[in-house]
Amino acid sequence: MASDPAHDPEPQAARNGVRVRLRPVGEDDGPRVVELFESLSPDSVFNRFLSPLARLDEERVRALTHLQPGIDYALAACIDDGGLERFAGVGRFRRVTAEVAEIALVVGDPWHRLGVGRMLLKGLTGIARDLGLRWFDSTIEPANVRLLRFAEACGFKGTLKYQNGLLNMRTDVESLFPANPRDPIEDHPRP
Amino acid sequence: MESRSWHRFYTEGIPLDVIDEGLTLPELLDRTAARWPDRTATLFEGGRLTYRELKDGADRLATALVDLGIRPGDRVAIQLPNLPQTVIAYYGVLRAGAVAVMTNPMYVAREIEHQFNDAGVKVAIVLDAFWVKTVRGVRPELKTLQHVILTRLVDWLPFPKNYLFPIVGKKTGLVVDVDPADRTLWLKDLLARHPANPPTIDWDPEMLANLQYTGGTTGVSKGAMLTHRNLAVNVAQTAAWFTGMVPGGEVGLAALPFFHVFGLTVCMNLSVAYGASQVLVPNPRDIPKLVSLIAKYRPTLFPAVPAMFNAINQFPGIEKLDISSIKGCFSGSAPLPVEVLERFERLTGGKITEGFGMTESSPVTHANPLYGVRKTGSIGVPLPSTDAKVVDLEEGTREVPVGEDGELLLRGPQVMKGYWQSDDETAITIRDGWLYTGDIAKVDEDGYFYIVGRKKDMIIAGGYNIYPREIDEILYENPKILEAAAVGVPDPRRGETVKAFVVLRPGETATADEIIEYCKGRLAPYTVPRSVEFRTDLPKSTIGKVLRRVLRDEELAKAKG
Ligand SMILES: CC(C)(COP(=O)(O)OP(=O)(O)OC[C@H]1O[C@@H](n2cnc3c(N)ncnc32)[C@H](O)[C@@H]1OP(=O)(O)O)[C@@H](O)C(=O)NCCC(=O)NCCS
Repeated sequence: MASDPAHDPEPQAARNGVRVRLRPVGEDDGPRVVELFESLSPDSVFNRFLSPLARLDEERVRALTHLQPGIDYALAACIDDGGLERFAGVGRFRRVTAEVAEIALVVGDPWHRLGVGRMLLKGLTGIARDLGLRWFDSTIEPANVRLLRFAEACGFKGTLKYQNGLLNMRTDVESLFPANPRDPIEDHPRP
Repeated sequence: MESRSWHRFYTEGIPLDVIDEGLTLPELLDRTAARWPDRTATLFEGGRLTYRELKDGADRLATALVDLGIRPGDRVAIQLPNLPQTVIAYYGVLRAGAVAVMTNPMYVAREIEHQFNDAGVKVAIVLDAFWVKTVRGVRPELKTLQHVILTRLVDWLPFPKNYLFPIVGKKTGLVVDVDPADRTLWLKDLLARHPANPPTIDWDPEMLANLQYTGGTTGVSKGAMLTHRNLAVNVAQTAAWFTGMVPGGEVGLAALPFFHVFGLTVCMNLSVAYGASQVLVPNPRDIPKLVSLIAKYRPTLFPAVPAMFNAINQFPGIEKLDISSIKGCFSGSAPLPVEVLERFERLTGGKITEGFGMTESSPVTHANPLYGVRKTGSIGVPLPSTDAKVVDLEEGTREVPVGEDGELLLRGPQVMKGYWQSDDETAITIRDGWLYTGDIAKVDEDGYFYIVGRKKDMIIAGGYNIYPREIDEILYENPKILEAAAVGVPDPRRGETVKAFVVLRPGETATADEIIEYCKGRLAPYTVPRSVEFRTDLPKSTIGKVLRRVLRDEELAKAKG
């Protein structure tokens, strides 16, 4: 697929004009993952982990960077900060069956509402389609209305089920980023 | 308002809409003080304050606050138990055009720090014992605080109790010595030194009256912005329910704390607006005292929580006491068991109406008609001028059919303006004019509502809302702890109680007592975990989300045996 951003090194422009490049997360990305974690507000941490983690311990960092081939897929949205690469956000999924993967996205709070989440989800959607996945599953906080709006903006179709204090969200991979509607990121002139 | 299925259950005298007089709370006090200047406003340990004196005290305090630099819209914290000076302080703050930040005396230092800094509190009016116990310790962190005004428990006691009390009080920690180096002001001195010359204010019912702190949807305490209209209308709505109420002729038993929105509205503000006398109860856990106050002062109105009705029911020899003065009671904050209701009504001959409310709605929105159809287990029907519906739990956009579970939504003039400096949280909580309560409810064909659970992950223990996230955050601050999750577990006495699951860092050791001890002082007493279980890891989803529910389900399964 020509549009598969995991293999597409061409940077995209965020709404603030900064260039963002998507690439797979690698084993030596620990420091960048930790730095991203530190740029998260308490609410973003909670929404991502459903727990107010104070820090990422080594074991967690390892789990987030040492991916099981064919099972774990993770994309980082990278920015260039004076020659230093930083993560503005990371999106990942893990296959749980042939057709289903659990997905999680997180964008550093300074980068919210700039289109980074959309880029990441779009990248992951491309990979998932290539892999023949049909559903993205995620468990979210009912109060995470921000994510519901985000999903809606990305074309979400699927089911939402409220269960025991959490929302189980199952997204039809096909529904994401339908071809026709206007996509503000694509519309943004590339530098 | 438009007609609703529940309106036919309104008994005679209950209007569909209350009249919004457009008055602020200080204007209501002025009106009452003009109508019944010599009527008793508060009764406390044999001391009486008339409405004239109450207004005079509030006006003097307002004058003093202006002198201290307080301007309309500034925030003033009040951390006091139910005392005569609490009513003076509250109305004095409002009279100055300022916003009252009612503060729970049980708060620990960290909570005070968050609340005062978040609200930008400029002046705090605090009981001397609370100052010494907590506030003083965080004083350096309170960036916006300019003045502290203290008052003693004895300040409004009549002679000779004011002289005798310190002797007893020393032992209980209620009488303390304040270091003059703290440079605090004294409420009594301020009132003596300042004339009753409050500022001229261009009153507008849309002005903020209270920042009332509550967990919000995420558990980080947020200030609900309650306007004068919100609070004054809620008083009118509640009063409309008590159809037999005689303005200027009732005696209320004020056992619910005024720092809590329930006590604020249904005890303090209702009494002031309708010229009722209030018997003040600073410590409602002292049941013998409570019972003796009922026998002595013969209150007619008694808003309370189920635990209080139950404790009175169980009081030894209660049958022999005359507590028949009680006509109307409002029960809220937890379900009222029917046996408790029946016994209390038999003992008093009065009626209890079970209702519902939340901080964000000033608080009362629902109640069972006092003299009409009361349904067991139901929170009743919406009050006048109040609309409610139940919508799907997922997106909250589709009204669900009768009998089906969904999220309870509320609309009415008592619904807050929003959360203080938290537009995101406000946008989540108030959508298209409806307040999303986070409570799971259902409605029957008559329009009676039933609470069946809560959407948010929240523990309710002993009537307090506890957010597990808040406890987790404290546990994570402990250097020995790698991961933690607090859950609510069934408890026969408190409804639920807190249990913490803890994973220690490699190489660390700790005992349950040590973790509990660590939480004390960092968490309000009702929030501290009662038990701790150590684990090697916490249940997580495949991409690392902590599944607190799995822990809770294990506990529920254990409790069922
Ligand atoms: C959810 C999240 C990933 C969105 O990332 P983002 O980079 O801010 O989103 P984008 O800028 O790409 O937004 C795309 C669209 O989503 C919608 N959206 C995103 N955030 C929104 C918000 N706070 N309110 C309303 N709509 C929002 C908008 O329609 C937006 O398009 P627009 O800005 O052109 O209007 C981000 O908020 C986040 O990291 N949250 C914390 C972690 C989390 O909740 N993860 C999800 C569970 S794993």
